[in-house]
Amino acid sequence: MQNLTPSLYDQRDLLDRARFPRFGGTLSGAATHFGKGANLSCGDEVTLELQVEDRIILQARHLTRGCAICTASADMLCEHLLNTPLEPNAPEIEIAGLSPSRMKCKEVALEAFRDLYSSYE
Amino acid sequence: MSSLRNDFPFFDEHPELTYLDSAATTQKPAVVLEAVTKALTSTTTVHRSTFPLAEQQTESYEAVRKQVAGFIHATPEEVIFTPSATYAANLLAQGLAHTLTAESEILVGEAEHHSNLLPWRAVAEQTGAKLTLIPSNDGSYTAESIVSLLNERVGYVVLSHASNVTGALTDIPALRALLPNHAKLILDCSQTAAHLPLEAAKLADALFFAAHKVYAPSGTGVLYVNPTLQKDLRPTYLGGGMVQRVWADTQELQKGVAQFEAGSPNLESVLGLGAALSYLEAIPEKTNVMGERLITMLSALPFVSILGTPHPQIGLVGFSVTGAHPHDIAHILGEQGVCIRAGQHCSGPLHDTLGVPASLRASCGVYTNEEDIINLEGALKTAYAKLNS
Repeated sequence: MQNLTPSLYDQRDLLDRARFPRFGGTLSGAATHFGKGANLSCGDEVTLELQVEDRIILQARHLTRGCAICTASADMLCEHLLNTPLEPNAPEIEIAGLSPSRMKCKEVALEAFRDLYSSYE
Repeated sequence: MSSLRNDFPFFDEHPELTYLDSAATTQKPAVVLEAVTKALTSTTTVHRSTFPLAEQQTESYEAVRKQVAGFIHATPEEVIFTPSATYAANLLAQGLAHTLTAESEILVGEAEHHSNLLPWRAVAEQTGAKLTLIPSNDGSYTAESIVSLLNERVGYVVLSHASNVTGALTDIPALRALLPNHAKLILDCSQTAAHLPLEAAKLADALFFAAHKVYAPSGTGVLYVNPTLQKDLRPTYLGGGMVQRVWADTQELQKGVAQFEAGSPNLESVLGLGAALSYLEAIPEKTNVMGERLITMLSALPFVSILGTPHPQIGLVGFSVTGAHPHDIAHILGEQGVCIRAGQHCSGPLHDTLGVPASLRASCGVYTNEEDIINLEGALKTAYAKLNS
């Protein structure tokens, strides 16, 4: 059978993050900021927690129920946010080979960040 | 190899694909493509112009109505053409809204496609009627679950014949026998029209399905309404074709089904539907011969869980893969040329009941063959291994 598009799922980092998120979990009492994102059409959900002091993000965690793209995106977002100032625009998340229909999988984490920011700013 | 497969140009155009998404939409046989092309090369209005070609096309259009009536064992006076199944569901709900009050109740199946739920939810909000969901464990409904909800206020019971998520079939004749006369049964036959013989009058007071799921083009829905319910059904869409005469201050509507067909009909789609039904009727068994094989193959995979109890004749199986998200599996399958569906399939409440955020769905058509099932099996093993390596 013909391979139609370059496989997303041959990206080792993406699959590793999806299976074993480096920033998965919660911050328990340390969290100062919370946000949620969801893709209602497929049931995916991302909960984002940040510990912010003097506008600097000291810790970031996510709890994700979603596909590999959704989970890996949330994980990359947390990594990008770490030790940066809390600003309205979310950092870019680069995943090669995302088709238009899978862009929304990445969007769930970004929606969680937007929800988090709008709740506190 | 299924010899019927040769009738479908899709497989010449896309020999690399394993198409197992026929519950979403079916491929079209060459005879349908020819009928559509012929209609488009002889385009006229229907029921309007009087020159000979237009009269001929009007006759062709009405001949398909008779053909559809034969297909569902109804009369042409009970068959309404709509632009889609969704439009048919909305036409029913809005057209019957005037029969409902704040004292009324509508029973709608929990497993319904959103197209068969949301129109009734809207009507309930408009009229103040109570909308109650009929529970479903697997996409089908038991007589007990409905009977326990019945009371004198129930005006409509709205169900699907078979689940578009699990392929589970409801025994509608048995269930209907238990309904009181005031509870009219409205049935979504979108997942059964291509696979089971439908005897409309025995099944429901109204039923509908989409042409594109019975090997015909998109753009046409079939709506059956029996004469009793038709008396209550008011036209929702107004315009050309559905009125006899319009004066400055009033109008007189067409009689019969014409009053529900406002606007220029989709001639090429309807004539394509006629060709598709002729094609289907010429097949000794229109059922999915590979449905049982699909269920058996998926049941044997240790990492697959089948949702509900799919009926083999529907040829549709909903399932999940242990530890993997449906979109990840479907994406990897797609890269291998295997086309199945992932998501909630427009049935959110049923997925909540099933306890899964989303699901996978593989579905057969008359062209599905053994090679398709083998390809799906291999692709699933590859995807599972990739996501767990």
